[in-house]
Amino acid sequence: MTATLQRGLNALREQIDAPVAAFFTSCVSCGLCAEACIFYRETEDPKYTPIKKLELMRRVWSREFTLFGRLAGAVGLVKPVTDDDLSEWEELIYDSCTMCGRCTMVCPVGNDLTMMIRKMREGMSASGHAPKELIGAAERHTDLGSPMGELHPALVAQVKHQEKATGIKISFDEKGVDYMVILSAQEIAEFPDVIGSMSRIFKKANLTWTISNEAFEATNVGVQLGNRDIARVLVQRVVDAAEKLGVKYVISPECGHAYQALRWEGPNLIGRPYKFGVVHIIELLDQLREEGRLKVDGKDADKLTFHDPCQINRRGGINAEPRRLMNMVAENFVETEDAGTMNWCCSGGGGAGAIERNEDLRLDAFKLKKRQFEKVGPDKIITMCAFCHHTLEDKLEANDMDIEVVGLTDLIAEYLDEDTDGSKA
Amino acid sequence: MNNPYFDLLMWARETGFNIALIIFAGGIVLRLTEILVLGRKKDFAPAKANGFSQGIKTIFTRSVPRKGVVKFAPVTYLGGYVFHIGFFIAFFFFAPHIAIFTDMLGLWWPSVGRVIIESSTALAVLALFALLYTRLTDPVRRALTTFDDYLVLLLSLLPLVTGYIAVNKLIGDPTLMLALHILSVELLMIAFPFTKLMHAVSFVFARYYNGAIQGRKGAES
Repeated sequence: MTATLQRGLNALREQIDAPVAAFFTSCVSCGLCAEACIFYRETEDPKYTPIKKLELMRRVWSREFTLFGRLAGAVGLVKPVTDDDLSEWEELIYDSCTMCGRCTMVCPVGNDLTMMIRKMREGMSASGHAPKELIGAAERHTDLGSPMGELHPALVAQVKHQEKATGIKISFDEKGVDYMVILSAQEIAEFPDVIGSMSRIFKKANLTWTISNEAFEATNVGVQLGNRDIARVLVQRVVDAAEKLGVKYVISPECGHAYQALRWEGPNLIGRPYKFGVVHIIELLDQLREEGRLKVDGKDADKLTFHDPCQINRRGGINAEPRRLMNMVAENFVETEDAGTMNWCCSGGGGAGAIERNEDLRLDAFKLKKRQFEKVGPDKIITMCAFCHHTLEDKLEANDMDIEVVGLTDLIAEYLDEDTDGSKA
Repeated sequence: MNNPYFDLLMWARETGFNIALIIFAGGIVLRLTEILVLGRKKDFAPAKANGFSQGIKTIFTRSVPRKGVVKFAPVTYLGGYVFHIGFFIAFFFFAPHIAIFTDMLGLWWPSVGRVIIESSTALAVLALFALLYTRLTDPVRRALTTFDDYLVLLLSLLPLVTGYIAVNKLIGDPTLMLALHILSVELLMIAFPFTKLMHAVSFVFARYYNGAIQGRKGAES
């Protein structure tokens, strides 16, 4: 056995806990998870059945964590996991799974297959079987501060540009403010207007905030790659900066996995609760709306639909908030089929969108969303994740579909009532 | 007392049953211990909602399929429901079965008539064949199916078929058929903890964990 295989299997063993054991014990191979998977649904290839993707982890569990499996393993009835197995499974664990979580919602015995894929990635990456694009992004993220490389100069330039456009000063490293804003690399590089949108909304709401020069990147490629050590380092950067500034909250931006990483995995990665709260930007906007600190003027007359990012809605529980905000500004809001908790993935989440070799597979997977959008025929698609935004634009263009994609924060800012004072009564 | 199968019936009812019951109960305890001993790490992320209550709720709500999914695998969904409900009725509401529970545990509940019991049994058998058919023909199920899956189908089928034959005295010696029926149940009990039959107990834990994990995030399950 090679050292990397041993390391991978050890990482996998560490991930096996009571829920995993209960899930594998309960699986009856009914295959209903296949129908929930966007990759199976659009290709009808049985290898994409979610529980099948977990076969290697099941074998490790069976051989090492059950008495019967140990006996079966001893007489050769349960095969050990080999390096070749892991190589073969790389495509199933990364290329054809966005960890969207639909399978978790339909499994009749209640197996959280998505959580197990996340866990299995730990074993895959430790054994050297992760896609090179994610490894490269992880290296850039740890060494240069962002999965896209050194983004700090770009951030500073974008902030200056937004200050000029809005006339509102944006502070860096300001102590004593309530909120620290972090951004996804995709927002800094592709959708920087969101900085100005937040700036205008927060000013009207009398909310004090800052950006840290030390930790402005929200994404966490360690979570997508399946490497807890890298994920921990990246979360720690944000935690250190937020605790140094003494903010009450960190605002998780419009980015799906960033929310999962910081809000739900982060405290467990660093082994303690934070000294601050984490709030998703859309949760915050909805809270400001509720408190009467976010007022809008006018409504968008176009036909709007909404794309739910899997990690924020299905895996993150933020479902009603964006709809309340949509209804503030949309005159003609039409949902797609399966909208909300059971919405279909954009086909690019969970790191899958960064992998070059699965481009055709992702295009096939997108056909499902394409049909849904064609049925609604919207003028604009609104979403709350920059990577969903990027993927939707990319795939709509590839399919010659001329539909504008807009971030929800930007949409709200567009209709922000500049005349009414939204500060606390 | 001259029936040559009487001794077999008595062995099945007493010694055989006791052996099966010990393996059944001991096996379940072992398998649950194997699960629970692994534990869960403390979750440091502050909960947004009550994971415990959603976990408990999900144990029940997951019995109902999500809207619009049945049409994609109708045989598996409908076959699954018909089998489970049919088996449940035949097992728990047939008067002689209730008498066993009364003897062992002192518990009693009303039985249902023969027509319902026999219809349920017949439907459960048909459902098992439908599930077997989909395992053999559907590419997803075929790819997932192992020896264990065929074994549990067979082990679930035998008590239903032998019970139906014994009650209706269809073929063979009635004493022998009753003995075979009891022995088939004992086989099912012995295999239960060590095969996928175990899902009938562990699903409670799986659904709870699913609901609790999602629930504390304020997400649906």
